[in-house]
Formats: sequence, structure tokens, C-alpha cells
Amino acid sequence: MKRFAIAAVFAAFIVLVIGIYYVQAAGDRSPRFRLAAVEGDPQEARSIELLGWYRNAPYSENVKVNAEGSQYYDELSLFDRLHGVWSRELTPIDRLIFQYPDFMRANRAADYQDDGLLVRVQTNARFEVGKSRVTHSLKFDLLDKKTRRTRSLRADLPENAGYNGLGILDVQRSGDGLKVAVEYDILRNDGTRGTPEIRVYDIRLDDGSVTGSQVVHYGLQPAEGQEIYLSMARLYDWTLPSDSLVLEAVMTEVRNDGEAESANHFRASVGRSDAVERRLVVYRYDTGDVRSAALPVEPPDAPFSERLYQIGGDALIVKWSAKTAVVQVYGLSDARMKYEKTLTARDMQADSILNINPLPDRLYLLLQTQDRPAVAAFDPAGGQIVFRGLVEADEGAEGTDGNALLRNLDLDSVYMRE
Amino acid sequence: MIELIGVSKKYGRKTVLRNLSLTVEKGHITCLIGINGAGKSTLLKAIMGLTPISGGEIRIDGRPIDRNLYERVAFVPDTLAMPPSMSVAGSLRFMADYYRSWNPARASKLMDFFRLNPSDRISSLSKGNAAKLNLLLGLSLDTDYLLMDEPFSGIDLFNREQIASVFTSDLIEDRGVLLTTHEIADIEHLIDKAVLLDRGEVRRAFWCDEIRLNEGKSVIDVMREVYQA
Amino acid sequence: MNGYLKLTLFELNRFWKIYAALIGVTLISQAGGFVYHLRNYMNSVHRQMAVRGFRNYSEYREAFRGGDSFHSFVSFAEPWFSGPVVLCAAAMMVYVLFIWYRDWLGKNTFIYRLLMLPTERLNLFWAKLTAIMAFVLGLIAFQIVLLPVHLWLFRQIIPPELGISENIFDFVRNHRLLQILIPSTFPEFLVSYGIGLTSVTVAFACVLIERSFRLKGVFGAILYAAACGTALLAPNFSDRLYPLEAFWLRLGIGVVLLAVSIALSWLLLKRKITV
Repeated sequence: MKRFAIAAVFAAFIVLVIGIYYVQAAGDRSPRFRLAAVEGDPQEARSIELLGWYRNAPYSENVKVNAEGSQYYDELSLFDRLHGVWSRELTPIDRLIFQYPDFMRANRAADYQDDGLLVRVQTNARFEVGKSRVTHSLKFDLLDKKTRRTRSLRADLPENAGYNGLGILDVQRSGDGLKVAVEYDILRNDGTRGTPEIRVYDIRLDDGSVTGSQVVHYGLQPAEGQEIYLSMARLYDWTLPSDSLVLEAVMTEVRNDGEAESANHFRASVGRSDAVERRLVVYRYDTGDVRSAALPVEPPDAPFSERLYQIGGDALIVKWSAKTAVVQVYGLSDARMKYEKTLTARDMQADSILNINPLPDRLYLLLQTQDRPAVAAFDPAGGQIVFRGLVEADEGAEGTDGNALLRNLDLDSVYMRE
Repeated sequence: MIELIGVSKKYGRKTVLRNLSLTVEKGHITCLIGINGAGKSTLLKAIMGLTPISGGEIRIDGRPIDRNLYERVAFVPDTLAMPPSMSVAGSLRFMADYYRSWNPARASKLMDFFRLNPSDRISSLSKGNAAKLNLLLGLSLDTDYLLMDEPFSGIDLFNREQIASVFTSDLIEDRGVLLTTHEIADIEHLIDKAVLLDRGEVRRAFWCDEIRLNEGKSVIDVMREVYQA
Repeated sequence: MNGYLKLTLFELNRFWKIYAALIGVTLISQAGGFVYHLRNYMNSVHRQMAVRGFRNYSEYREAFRGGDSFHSFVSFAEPWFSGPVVLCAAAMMVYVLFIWYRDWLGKNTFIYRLLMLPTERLNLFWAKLTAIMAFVLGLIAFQIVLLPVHLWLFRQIIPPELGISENIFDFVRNHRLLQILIPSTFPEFLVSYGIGLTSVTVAFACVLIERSFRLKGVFGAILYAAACGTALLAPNFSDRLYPLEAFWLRLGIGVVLLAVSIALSWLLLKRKITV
């Protein structure tokens, strides 16, 4: 019958068009890249993953490149995307979610792990209205990695009168207990900040009782109109065991520059805070010693970025701009500068430095050469560049000109592969 | 035989059919009589599975209602249930497509008899022609039973006579016919059995010949007795 | 040919005129609107070139930062591109309900005839479901076919110096509306249209609930739709579920809702539907 034939053609049209579309879509692949070692141990290339964007005008695609090849986020199957395959090998937390999904389910965070134990801490503040004071406690979730059993602990912190803010800085294991470094803050009613206090508590693993505490004196005493800001050194994986707590303490002067009118016509006081003193502070968990060193105070409009990192057994202060990175390496036993090294883009055979990322034992620099992304690894222990890698376009990439494709590749971060 | 045993039906709180029992025998024409709202249409729809019943049983030749019912029982509802854009010929093709019991020769004969134009659209048919087509669609199925809901409603005299003449022809002969009407005068001479309904219940059911012979009454006489009592 | 196929053909046939109109509107609005905008653009380019004395398109591009992608030219041509897509989607959503209600409308209630057909009543359900899915997928297929046509028109009208061509798959993946209608991979397509299928069966069940119970049925239908919607959204409310787990849960819920809706529809058609 005619009607049947028309309907059959209609059905065939639908199946063919949609089928052909998806067959073609599956075959549509973006260019392939690979990280090749140019200097140093090729094993180093196999241990890292570079993340960034491939600019496919007018769009950009999220891409990962490593020594074996490259992968695009859009090319992951739905299953893989839901399964978190993309970030599974990137951040420590995503790796933990993959290894211990039930423990990480309630709260996707972790503070400390070693071969046997995984620890997560949350702070809890209770405002006792009648007595207008705050009591703090810590809640621990502990996972025994071998037996897979979890348990919780609560540690009531002895009152620290006057402090209304509590933050966790670091958690380390010490024998059959934990050492928890916290920062107490106070925000006064007039909007000013009080002097923060850093305390390290000893907490027993079996019952959560606080067996001791120690104040970490960072050596700055604020005067009137001065405030102190503390920040931890950046680490690749803060959950790994460390024997030191590395901090930067900055004292700023808060000046009231009078009043000004904002965009929505509110008059408000305008403040300016300029740093007047900076210190590197290192606390050793085993001895309880605190060492600190004065750091130069840079003008606020300095033409470079500056970061404090903790890599391996050292603290690094890195000041970097597009052409140069100056690395100052401080020992963690005495907080004294061991040496200073200047790395230029030219020394690393590149045009510019795009980004700096810390990994557990290396400082990685992401570079841009004339026509392709590159990467270099600096070893603070030895004080040398120990590895350089270049990204190459794979053989047989569609659209012949591999170099043109590489110019569209922007890689801006480095992660460690497990 | 179509059997209704203790059938009841409620629409919300209203009881439309109340513990109703009746039979329709093959070879006879049974007429359901009652005023509007007595439940006549509902009863026919219930037999055809077009509306559920709240209680009781309906059996056709001893079997309950299933989809094969529709090859054995034809229903001529009170509207011509065909899409307005369809042509007359299209509606015949539709029926032929689905029913094994469709008799194309008879359909053709009835098309001529009723003088219907195959290319007319359903929406353009006059009331009389629509009623005739409706009847044609029911009669052209070779079924054992035929149900008709108000076949003469709103039809003018001449069309009514034409439709009535079908009843006496061989088109009806062996079938069991159940029809509803409130215009008994036109068909009193055609029917074999009368069932008087009042507010969902059977008040009287009787064979017309018997009543005439035994009591000398016409159907209308009995109606007067029942409804004006 | 069995009852289901016959009824499906019947349903396909009764809607084809409106369907052809939807396709026609899409073609004219998308292609026509696009060509109109492209021509306008080139006219203004030529005007500027005459005024400024440019000798070729490259000079124009340097002066005016011209050189836009296919994607941006399509955006400039809105709403002529997305408008018909939205119209077709809305029309189909209305027809999901109207495909049933049209049988009850008017004085010639066709539903009598359909319910008296010597075929499983559920075939009415299957036929309408098949028709809806076929119409929707047909529109999708038509849109897919139109895309290379638009690209071709683009390349015919805009010179390479001023317009960067694109790959259809990238274009679809980055277009706000099309990426929903044409998912990037076939498994995602199955998931999306599986959800669509489930939604249609739930809607059908709601219609049948209303048609079986009238006024009470309206409330029943709303309740059923709300319950199904809540069930499908339930996995979102737990932040303890990982994305993959939420996906499997939702898939399972979807399958259950599909089965329940079909079973409910079967029951209503067989025992409760009333004219």
C-alpha cells in the first residue's frame, strides 16, 4: 500500500540520518598530542599530566596531555564522565573519592593520610548565648585503610575566650595521636580583626581527648591600626605526612583613607592595607620548635607574582613574571635561606613562563615556546632544572600541519599521575 | 444470546443502572424503551465495553466481553463516530481494514440503497445521511448481534421510513438486535420484545405478540400503565 | 499487518499536514532567515569597501575586525534559527495530549470507533506513542539534514576572509538549544530520548486517568504526574550520591515509571475508560 511505503521511507530516513550522524560524530576527533622528554629522565614525563585548552575557533575544548597521548573531555563516554574519570587521576581528593567512595561520600574532603589511616576534620563552633562566648570542638572521621572500618571522634577544645573563628591549618599523625594545627581568629564588633593565634593540639586517637596544646609564636606583634594575616604554604597534596608546618605571616597597616561614594551611591570608608612586615614561619611537629625568617616586603604594584610553596623538605618562595622566575629555597630545619636561583625563560629554551605548579618533589614551570607548549621541572633539593618536556603533535593528526595545531594548544596546569 | 445479570452502574453518586437483568436473543428485535436519562445509552455502551459497570455480569453467548466481541457484536451509536475530515469511502475502507466480518458487497448495496456519495466528507453530510452512513457501517458487519442507539433520533420522516425498511429486510434476519428509542410509534410494528426502563431498573419486559394476544394491549398501552402509574 | 501497525499508520496519516507545515516553517525560517542576514551583511561590507576604497576582503577584515565564525553568524540571525525549533517542540508537546483528546472532540467522537476495534486496546496506546516518537525523531533528523545545508549557504555567501567555517559536530555541541536536542554521543541520545519516551508514557497515563475518572481524574492525573516528576528528581536531593550512582538510580526509576505508566494505561483502557 502507498501509505505503508511512505511510512517505511519516513522510518528509514530517521534511522539513516540519525545513525549516520552519530557514526560520523564518533569518528570526528580533535588533534592528538603527546609529551616528549627533551632533557632529563623520560620517566619524569610519564609521571605527569598537563591540563589545558585546545582552541578550535570559535570554541575551546578541555584537553589533557601526557607521555602516552592526549584526551579530550568531550570525547569521554557518558559513563566515564559520570564516573569522574577525567579528574580521577588529577587531584588528591578525586583519587581518594575513587579509592574510598563510602568514606568520602558524606564530605568530599580529607586532611591527612598515610598507609593505614585516612583522617578528615571538621570544626564546630557553639555560641552560648547566655554566657556570650564560643566553645569550639573538632569532629574527626577516621578510616582504617586496612580494615575499611570507619569511626568518629570528637575533641572538645579548651575554651579560647575571645576567639570566634576557628580554621584547620594542618593535621599530622604523631605516635598514637594526632597533631592538629588550628588558627583562631577574632572579628571584632567594629569590623577590625584581632591578632590570630595558632595552636597545635595533641589529640588521642582512641578517645579524642586533648592531651596538650602549644601556641606557635610567629614573631609579629601588631600595633594600633595593624592586622596580621596568616597563610599556609601551598602544597600539591596536603594530606601527605609532613614533619613541618610552613606559614607566611604578613603584618599590614590598615589606613582609613576617608570616605568615598560607591557605584550605588553609598558612602563608605575606604581602607587600604599595605604590608609592613613579612615572615616565613616553620614549626617542627616533632620538637615543637618554631623558626622564622624575615622576608622582604614587596611594593603592592610589583610586576610579578609571588607564592610560598612547600616542596619536599624545603620551603620555596617563587617570584615570577613572564620572562623570569626567582626561586629562594629555605631549609625547614632552621628557616634559613639555602640558596637563591634565577631561572629565565631563555635558559629553559622558551619564550615565556605561563604558570608555576608545585608537585610533591618538584616545582614545575609551564612554558610557551615559539610554537608549542613546554614544561620544565626544578628540583629544590639539587637546585637544578632536572627535566624539560615539549608537546608534540602526533603522527597522522588530521590536517597535516602539526605545528599549526600546536599553536592552538594552551596548557596551564600540571598534575601528578598515580 | 446477550445476557445482562444484575448489572448496576454508578456515575459518581448517581446510580444509572440498578440491578438490571435482561436478555437479547438471536433472531429477534428487542427494544429498550424509556425516557431520557433512564440509562438506555449507558446500557448499550456497557455491553460494548465502552463504559465500565459497577456490579453484575454481562455475557455474550456465554462468554464475557473481550476484544473479539467486536467481530460478533456491532454497535451503531447515537453519533457517527468517524473523523470529520474523512470521506465516506474512507470510512468504509477504515472498517474494511480492521474487521474480518466486514461485508464489502453488502456495504456497496447499502451505499446505493441509501444513495450516499463516496467522495463526500463526513463533516459535510446532512443529519439524515450521517444517520444512514452510521447504520450502514453497523449493518455491513456480519455480526450475530446489532446494537443501535436512537437510530431515528432527529431524522426527518422520509429518511426514517427508509431506515425502517431496512429492519424488515434480510439484512437483519438472523441477528439479535437491541435498539433504544423514545419514539416507539415508528417501530412498534417492527419489534419482537420490549423492555421498559425507568430510573435504571427494568419495570416490565415482554414479548409484543403475547401482550397483544393475551391482553389486547399495544406497547404504548403498557407504557402508559407503567410510566403513568 | 496487525492492528498496531494499522493504527500507527493511521496516526501518522492524520497529522501529516500539520507536520509538513512545521517542517516547512523550519526550512523557510532557518534557511531563509539565515540567507537574508548573510546577504544584508555582505551588502554592508560592500558598501563600506566602496566608501573606504578597500581592494579586497582582507583589507576590510583588518580594518573592521571582521571574520566571524559560522556560529556567530547564526547567532546574529536569531530568532529565525531557534524560533522554529522552539515552535516545533511546543507543537509536539501539545500534540502529546491532543493526540488523545482529538478523539473525544466534537460531535463525532471517534473514540467510540477506536475502542470498538477488534484489536488489543493497548495497541491504541502503542500506536500513538510510536507516532509521537516518530514525529519527534523525524524533526530531529530533518534538523540534522538542514545543518550542512546552512553551512553550504554560509560558504556560498560569505568569503573565507570574512567567515570561518566550522564542523557541524562542534557547532551542535556548542549551541545552547541544539546540544540538548542532539546530544554529542549515541548513548546520551538514547538516555535523553529514553527520558522523553518515559515522559510521554506518563503524560498518556495522565490523559487516560482523566478520561476514565473525569473531574476526579483531573486531580488524579496531576497527582500522578507530580509523583512521577518527584520520583525522577529524587536522586538530586541526596548529596551523598555520586554522579554515576545517581545516574543508575535515575535510570532504574525511569524504567520503573515507564513500566508502571504502560501497565496503568493498559488497565485503564481495558477496564476503566468511559466514553
